[in-house]
Amino acid sequence: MSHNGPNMIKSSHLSKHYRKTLAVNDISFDVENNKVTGFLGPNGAGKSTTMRLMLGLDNGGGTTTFNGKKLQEYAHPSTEVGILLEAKAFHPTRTPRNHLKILATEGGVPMSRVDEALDIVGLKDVAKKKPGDFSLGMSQRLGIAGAILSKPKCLLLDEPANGLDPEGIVWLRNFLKNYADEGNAVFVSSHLLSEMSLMADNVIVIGKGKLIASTSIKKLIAGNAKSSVFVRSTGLSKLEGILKTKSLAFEKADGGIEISGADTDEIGRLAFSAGIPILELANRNASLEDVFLELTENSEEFQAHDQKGKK
Amino acid sequence: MMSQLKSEFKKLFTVKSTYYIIAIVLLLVFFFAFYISGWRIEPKDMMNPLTLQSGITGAVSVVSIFSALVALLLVTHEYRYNTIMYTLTSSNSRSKVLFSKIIIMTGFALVFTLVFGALSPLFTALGIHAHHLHLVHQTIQYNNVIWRCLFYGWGYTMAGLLIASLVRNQVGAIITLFIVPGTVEGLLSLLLKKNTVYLPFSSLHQVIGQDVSTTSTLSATHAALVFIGYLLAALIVAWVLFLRRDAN
Repeated sequence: MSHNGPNMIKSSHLSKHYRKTLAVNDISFDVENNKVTGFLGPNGAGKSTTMRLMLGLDNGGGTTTFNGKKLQEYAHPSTEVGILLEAKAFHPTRTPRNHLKILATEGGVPMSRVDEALDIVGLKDVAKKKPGDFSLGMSQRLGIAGAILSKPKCLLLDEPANGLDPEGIVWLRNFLKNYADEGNAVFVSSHLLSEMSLMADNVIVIGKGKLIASTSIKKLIAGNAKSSVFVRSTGLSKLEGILKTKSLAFEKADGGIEISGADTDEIGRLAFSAGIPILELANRNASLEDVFLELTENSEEFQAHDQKGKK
Repeated sequence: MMSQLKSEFKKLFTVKSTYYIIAIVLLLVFFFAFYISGWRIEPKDMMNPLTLQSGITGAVSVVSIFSALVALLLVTHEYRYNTIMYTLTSSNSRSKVLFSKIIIMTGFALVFTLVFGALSPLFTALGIHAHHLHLVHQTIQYNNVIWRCLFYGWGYTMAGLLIASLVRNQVGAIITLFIVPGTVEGLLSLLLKKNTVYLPFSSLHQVIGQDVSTTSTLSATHAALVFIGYLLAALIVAWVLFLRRDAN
């Protein structure tokens, strides 16, 4: 992740104290151009604070550069970075068109772009309505319209999929992937891990204010999760005996056995050579969710417990 | 800086509260100037050559509170609805943001004060005329009245803006704006007695000739200087905090 492309976000040694609490602890990472980078962490991990530090909204330690320059060094910073940190960040009686016109004025963006942005996010029909009554999904769309208004080279979005309907989520995923494909850096936090695994190329994971991982999703899953092979067979006891002789670990699961440290090809050959009939043979790869839970196991600020008091 | 100024101007005139406040002030000025001071004018006031001038200063002393409220809302809406994060990330300098608000509200306050300061005697004269009464020849010291009224309107508006910048919470700022001039300074006057005129809002009232509960008075110019001192101190504190505090 040390790519030094022309469009990239580079955060170095970000830190933030709230009195005695260290909310963000010396975090450094890069967000590459041409890619969607997911930002993951449990509740209270410091994701929003980190994003605010990157934008200079919170005062803290460290620096962030966007394409080589600090945000304050741009004449119109909003043309460089589009943000969505909160869905309902608008005045409830100011129409979406007026809200965007203000953002366009601040960013030196042509007014014609306002209707374009509203059209892109599907809010053209409600451009003159009061947004106070908007659903969370519509508010998110207005926020996204604000973020993309100036066609910035970097996007910072905090939980943009919250409140979107399934169609909206698919639209957002495709939109952000296309936006990144145009050479831009997209940095997006989300709790929807399945969605993130579909959307993001790279991922940054933090917990309790510390950086846990910064890599591609593929590498993250491959490097941190235990993959296994599931087998269902009428000759399980015979297969178990063979596995023991090969020193392969296994455990019973779902009417079959789950074998660690082997792939389907290897197990398939072993069973075939021993004449064991196979009813089902499948790879069980860990999901991003499995990896995330494993990585952040000890980094959760707020842990829920079941009724017996267990995690 | 121009883009910030234009943006603040748009923020001011794209929320309904600004229009509601202007409408309320228009109704109040019409009611008091046309009906109370005009239609129902006291006979002694009809003989007073300074009736219209008093009407102007009286109207300005009331409408300025509303101008201050507009300024307060311009700032606190940003924090209440979190649009401050867009404002701050759109500008390369927080100072530009604060001073854009000050410049726009200065313009608003001056126009607001001038318009309602002019409408007040007009409505009063119309009320008297409609009731077929006649005023004695009126004397208005234009230069004196205009600068004092403009200063008062601007000063009150800046006070509202700076209170909002310091407090940030909308309800807290409104309570501060309405409590400090009357209740807090009223209580302090029991302690300070003659020196009450050196309190911020008391000195501002002196500029426009509003009595405070003391026998000691300052000239309008001295009172204006005292108030400017407070305003500068508040501006410095608000500016430093605006630069140093987290966005919201």
